[in-house]
Amino acid sequence: MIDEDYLQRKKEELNFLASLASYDEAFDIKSYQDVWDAKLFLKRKLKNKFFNSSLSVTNLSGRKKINLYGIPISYTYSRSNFKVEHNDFLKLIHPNLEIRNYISMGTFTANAQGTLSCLLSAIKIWDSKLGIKCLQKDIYYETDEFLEVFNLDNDSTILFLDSSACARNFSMVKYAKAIIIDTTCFSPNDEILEMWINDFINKNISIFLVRSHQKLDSFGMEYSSLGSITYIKRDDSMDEVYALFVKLLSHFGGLPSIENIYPFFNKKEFFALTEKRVEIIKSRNQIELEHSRNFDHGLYSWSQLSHRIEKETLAKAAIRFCEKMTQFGIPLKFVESFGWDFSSISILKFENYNRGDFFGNKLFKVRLAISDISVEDAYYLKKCYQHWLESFA
Amino acid sequence: MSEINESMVPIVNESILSRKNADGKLALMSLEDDENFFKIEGLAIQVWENIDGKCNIKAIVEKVSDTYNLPKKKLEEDTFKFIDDLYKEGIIKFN
Repeated sequence: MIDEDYLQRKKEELNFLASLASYDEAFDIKSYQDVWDAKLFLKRKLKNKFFNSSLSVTNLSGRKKINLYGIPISYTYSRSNFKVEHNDFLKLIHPNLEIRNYISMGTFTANAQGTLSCLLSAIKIWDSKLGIKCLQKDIYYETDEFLEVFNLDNDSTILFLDSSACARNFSMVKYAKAIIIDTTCFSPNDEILEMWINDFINKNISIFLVRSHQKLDSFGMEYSSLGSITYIKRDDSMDEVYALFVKLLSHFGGLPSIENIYPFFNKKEFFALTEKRVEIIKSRNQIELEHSRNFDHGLYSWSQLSHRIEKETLAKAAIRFCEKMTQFGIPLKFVESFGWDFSSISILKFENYNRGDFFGNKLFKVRLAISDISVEDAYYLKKCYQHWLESFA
Repeated sequence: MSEINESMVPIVNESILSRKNADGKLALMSLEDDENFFKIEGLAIQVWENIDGKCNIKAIVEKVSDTYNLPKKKLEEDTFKFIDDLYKEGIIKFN
């Protein structure tokens, strides 16, 4: 059942959001559904508070520069020339990381995947001979597909580290011109990020941090689609790539509408509450399951299905399972992401999907992402999930 | 099985999970069967919490009667009926 610890944490989150939205009434929360309803209510309140009186895609302020939630930005037409005028973008996104001797710039973007695709494209256009080396085997399937399409070389000139798995082997790092790190699966101020960034700075390697804010930075309510890129430069060698990237971002619709930017960035409470939320999510996902794999980041686990099953059949079974768990009192949704105030299951293609297994069967894997629910409910959910998986064996 | 009697010892089937909701109701769910789902409240929760594989039905009635101020006969009838329903739905068995 829901415990006092959960309710206390959610009250803190709701109070913070309510104060931003200038909403005074207290919420009487008793269930996961109550929390979810309150979050969506406050999301509407926040959007209404900040964007109910003017257009937002076109800047009508008469000044090119405006101050949004304390963040200086400029644009005349957001899709084309949106720019964050902050002189230390790293500090804005990761304020508590202790990083020394750097220059950073960056921007919010429409989403992380488009940002990453634009960056990879910019690198390839800038120097088609440059290769990109993935530092781990398991990378997000869309990025994997993108890399295949671009036929990027498998050498180590530019390194790419996906956040869906942690790299353990950095031996090739000293030869690299730059490293791209997808930070989505790390809390904004995670000490692993601090360690990596300082290490790469010491090695004089430029760093591109790409992040989806929708998962962990959105109080579990999917405030809006939002990504960002932070460029930490060591010398001028990657400046042209960054300039080209910004141009591609503009041309391909990768810049954000200001309505998508979260009003809680730049607030200490946001980072403290997010850190607490992420730590709880990690602890809930730690319980080991048979035939499942936990990732180092601890935000979810996935299970490989050992035999062929049609995706549609699997999806129908997943929806039924979600309905059953929700009826039992533990909200579970069949959705393709993670990090919300409800738990989720998704179906992903297994790494060898395109090749198939030994018999040519195309296999899927199922991802379970448990939210920051009570310890007891996390246990129930894992138990039921394990049983559900076994029904396919 | 013939009719249940007070000397029988009920035990919850391994595939059944129970969870208390915020509204005080208890949800019972079978891992084996998607359709097998119940919500119970009040006296039924008291009976459920005493189904431990050790107490027989007579003992369960006695324990529950300590909490519920109901006529003994009514309490016995309700408890027997509830336990019978649980058995017919495959939620419990008897030791």
